[in-house]
Amino acid sequence: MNPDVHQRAQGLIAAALVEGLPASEQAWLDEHLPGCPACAQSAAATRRAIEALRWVAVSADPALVQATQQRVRMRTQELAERQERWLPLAVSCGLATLVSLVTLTYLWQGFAWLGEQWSLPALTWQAGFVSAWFLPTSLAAVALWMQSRSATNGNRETVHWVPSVGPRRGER
Amino acid sequence: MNLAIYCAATWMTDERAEIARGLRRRDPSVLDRLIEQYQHRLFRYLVYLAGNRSLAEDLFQETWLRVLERGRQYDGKSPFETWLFAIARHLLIDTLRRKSPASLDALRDPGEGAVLWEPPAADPSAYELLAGREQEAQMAAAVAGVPAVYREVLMLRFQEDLALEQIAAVVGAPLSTVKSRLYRGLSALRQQMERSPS
Repeated sequence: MNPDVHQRAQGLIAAALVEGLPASEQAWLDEHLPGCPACAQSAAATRRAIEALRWVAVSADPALVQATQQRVRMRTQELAERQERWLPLAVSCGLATLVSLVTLTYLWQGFAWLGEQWSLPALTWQAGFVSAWFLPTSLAAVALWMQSRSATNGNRETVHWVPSVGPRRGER
Repeated sequence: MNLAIYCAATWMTDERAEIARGLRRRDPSVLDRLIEQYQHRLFRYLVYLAGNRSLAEDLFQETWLRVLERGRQYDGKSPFETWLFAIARHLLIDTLRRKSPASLDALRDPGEGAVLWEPPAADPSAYELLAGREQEAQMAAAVAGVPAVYREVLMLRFQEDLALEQIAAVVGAPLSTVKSRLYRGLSALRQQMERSPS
């Protein structure tokens, strides 16, 4: 028999499993295999290899599954609480920004008037304006950063689980 | 027949949409159900991919936390398991990158004495149990000897019965690459099985 025929058969054996074969190719292979012990043996070996994959049982430990469910529930609660905290904060920040923008010119004029009243150099009252403008925001940012850090440290808590002993049947 | 196919397709679409809604709401009952439903499939995928049971156990928990946090990204158009496996895969790669700049191939050898797969539980006689365990141990060794990139696609194709397109979505590779890995993986698995004493 032509060696190319066997090569074609080998290719088709794998292709049938990986992506399926057109009917004509499948018919050719079905006709070839009974008359060719070498290719039939190769097909059987490939089938055994696939069965090996399916036969090996792997299953998750019930304790691991329970611990995971518990951890996910805890995290769900944390995320919900965080969302509850952040929503009013975001609204407040938005409002504060709006008010600051609206009052910006008045604040500038107020500092300019104070500087004039107290005969301060322009750089001094301008520095005062910048401080007044940025200080509350900076303090709020630092406070929020510290709060988020403590929340993150709290989230690192792990739910431990103890593997159960004994054989388990693989399930799907 | 066509009606049955139509009904099955509609039911699957509805189920995916329900999962997507539950994940968007971060509904604990939906997450509990998903963990129950996909526990073995996800764990098996992680064990096959990582080649290390202990690492797979850590990643199992992390994967579900990631599902919770990124649940809004699941649109319900593709099967849930495809999205789930892709998350697990990314987590494993991230973990490996943090530990060492190794590729998935570095996970090829599980190490001496490592137990990746358990033997079947309930055989009727002690002899059959022993024989079954030995055979399973040989098969597990053969499967573990296949490089991880091939083992992964083999497992997704022949154990999870995913379509080639779904596998491509999980591993983030073109369809041609997936096919090539499957052919090479089959060949490697056959070689491993021929080497193992049976």
